[in-house]
Amino acid sequence: MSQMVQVWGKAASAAILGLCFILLLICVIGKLRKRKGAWRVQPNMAGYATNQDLSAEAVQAGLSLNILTDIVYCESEEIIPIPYIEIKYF
Amino acid sequence: MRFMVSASTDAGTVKTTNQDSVSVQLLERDGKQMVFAILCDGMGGLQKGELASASVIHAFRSWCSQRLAALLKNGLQDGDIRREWTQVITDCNKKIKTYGRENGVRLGTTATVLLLTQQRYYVANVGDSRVYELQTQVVQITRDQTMVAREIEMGLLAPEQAETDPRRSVLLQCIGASEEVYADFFYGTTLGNTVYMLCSDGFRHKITPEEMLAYLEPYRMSSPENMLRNEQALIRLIKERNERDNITVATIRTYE
Repeated sequence: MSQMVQVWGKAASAAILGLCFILLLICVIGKLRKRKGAWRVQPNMAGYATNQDLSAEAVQAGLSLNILTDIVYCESEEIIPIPYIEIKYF
Repeated sequence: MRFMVSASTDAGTVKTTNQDSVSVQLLERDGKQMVFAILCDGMGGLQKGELASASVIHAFRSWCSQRLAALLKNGLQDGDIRREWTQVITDCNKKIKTYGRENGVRLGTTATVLLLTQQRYYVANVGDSRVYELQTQVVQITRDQTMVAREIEMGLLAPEQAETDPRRSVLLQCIGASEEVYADFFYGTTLGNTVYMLCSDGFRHKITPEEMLAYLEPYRMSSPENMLRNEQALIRLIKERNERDNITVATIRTYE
């Protein structure tokens, strides 16, 4: 009897886990379908970043500069990394 | 308006290390050209000046690649440049000072930054590297941040005395070796058929404005090859006059 309970218990657990997995898959697929293109982050009037859907081509065109000539001379091969920090508006 | 660019640098007659760093980029967006140039003169009296100057160059190049297109898209304002370049300079100062503390060295650099668009130029300056505008005469756009320049402005020293004053290279501040750094900003209209020149102090110590014009006037700067040739000829002249400091120049020729 106890063996049967154990078997049924395991089967029920497996079923519940399987159901959760399927629900998770449905949610993920749904989110992927909603997303149309690359995210573009731009500041609103207060200066905080907001997201706006744009096509990848529009994003690239808006944010690219063509480099026609690039001359640089630095004797030091080492540099102190100074990463760009998002400008904070006040 | 179109642009041509060139740059040359030399360690000079005495120093084995060139602590100057320079970057000039000719850029294009929507068929319109612009130029972004940076010149940094590492402090010779301090250690690792070349590391400081290279780091500031790279910081501004990063800014350009990440921010300039977005600013242009929204309509470039003087205030945008001032705010953003001030932040880059402040960040550079903090990081270089921190590096110096952690490694037991003192290092610093000047910085002169020029953005030349179709209509307007934007300049930031820390130290005594300079930006000039050359047409039929030489016009200095920047103001030196040196003790001697300050005394001239206050009327305590004559310009002729300043040329031989032993303090003429003493800076009021530099990036990496000052507690706080305050850049001077200059703005103006981009002129056609003009040469804009950035140079370190080693370039200008031994030559006169008339000689600058004789070699680098717009008429002589008719191609990038001529620009490079003229820069290098002037550098040879400066070295013949036993300039001890590093010698660096960048030129931008505008034409319509």
